[in-house]
Amino acid sequence: MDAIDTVLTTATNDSSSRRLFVRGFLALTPLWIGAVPTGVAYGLAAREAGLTLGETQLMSLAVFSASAQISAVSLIDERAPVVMLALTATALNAHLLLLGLTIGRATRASRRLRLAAAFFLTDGAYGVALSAGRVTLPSLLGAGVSMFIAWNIGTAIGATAGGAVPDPRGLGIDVIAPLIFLVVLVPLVRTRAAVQAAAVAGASALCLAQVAPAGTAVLGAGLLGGIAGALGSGRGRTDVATTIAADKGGAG
Amino acid sequence: MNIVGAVLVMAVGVYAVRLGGLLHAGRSLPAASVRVLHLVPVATLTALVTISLASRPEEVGLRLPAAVVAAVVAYRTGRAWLCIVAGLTSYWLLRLV
Repeated sequence: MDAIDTVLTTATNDSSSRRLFVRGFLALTPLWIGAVPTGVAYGLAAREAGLTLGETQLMSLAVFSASAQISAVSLIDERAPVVMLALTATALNAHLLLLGLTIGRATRASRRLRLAAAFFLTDGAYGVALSAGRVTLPSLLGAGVSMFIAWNIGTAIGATAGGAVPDPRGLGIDVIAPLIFLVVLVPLVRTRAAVQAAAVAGASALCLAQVAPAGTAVLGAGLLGGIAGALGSGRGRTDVATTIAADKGGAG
Repeated sequence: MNIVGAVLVMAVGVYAVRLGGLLHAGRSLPAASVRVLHLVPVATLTALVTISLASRPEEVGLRLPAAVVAAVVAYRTGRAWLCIVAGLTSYWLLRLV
């Protein structure tokens, strides 16, 4: 009876995980309306910066982060070294460390499922999975896969179209990069601490760009702004969940 | 620059951050670190917008108004595609003037 109970429990868990995965996948599909055009814009910007179709698509398949990819395109255009690209990409996704800690504490999922779900962890997937009440890794994985597909479809369209445009810089396609940064940034600036962080970062970036390469200026300003905002937040003891709940918003 | 190599290095860095929290759920971070980590993306994005706009000083008069329009649209509608279309349209219209 123990073996039968184990099989039934495993089968029940598997079918319930599959249901949660499908539910998460479908719940995210309304966000395709934002993800696909942003992917198109990234594809166009990447081609304008000189990346090939394959390189553009590879970045979406391997990195899967709008802000990190657009920053990389922008920094490649400025001839920043590879280490700056990697550090900037990591800095732009630093908050996902906090999301991961929150989710990880609330679930008993296997190590294998955590390794898989981690690749697809984004703000959008987390928000959609949370909207169902309690975040489970299967639903997070489903939402993440859905976002991944939309992002890569958009990238493919933009990268293909970008190759057909004869003079993208002449058309000002490179202005897309700061616009995409704004799409992600504006929803995040909703507290005094965030405004303070943004103000210090903007001023620091202008000053640092006079004496340092673009990549170094971005990282330095990002760190200075983060510290300034944290110092001015005026909170006492703060845990991860409280910080995220108070300031949740935006896309990755 | 070896783009494929750069992409792979970036991919490892981003995955490490995503995985770090999920794998180390039993740990706690100092409150100050949590506050800084939470605000670094805001600050980094602002720095990127600033440097991106300032990198073409001859077009600041075109790009800055377009960025303001895009930011307002993003704030009012929350729709990414609308923000990008509004910003690009503003930029192109200003170029015609």
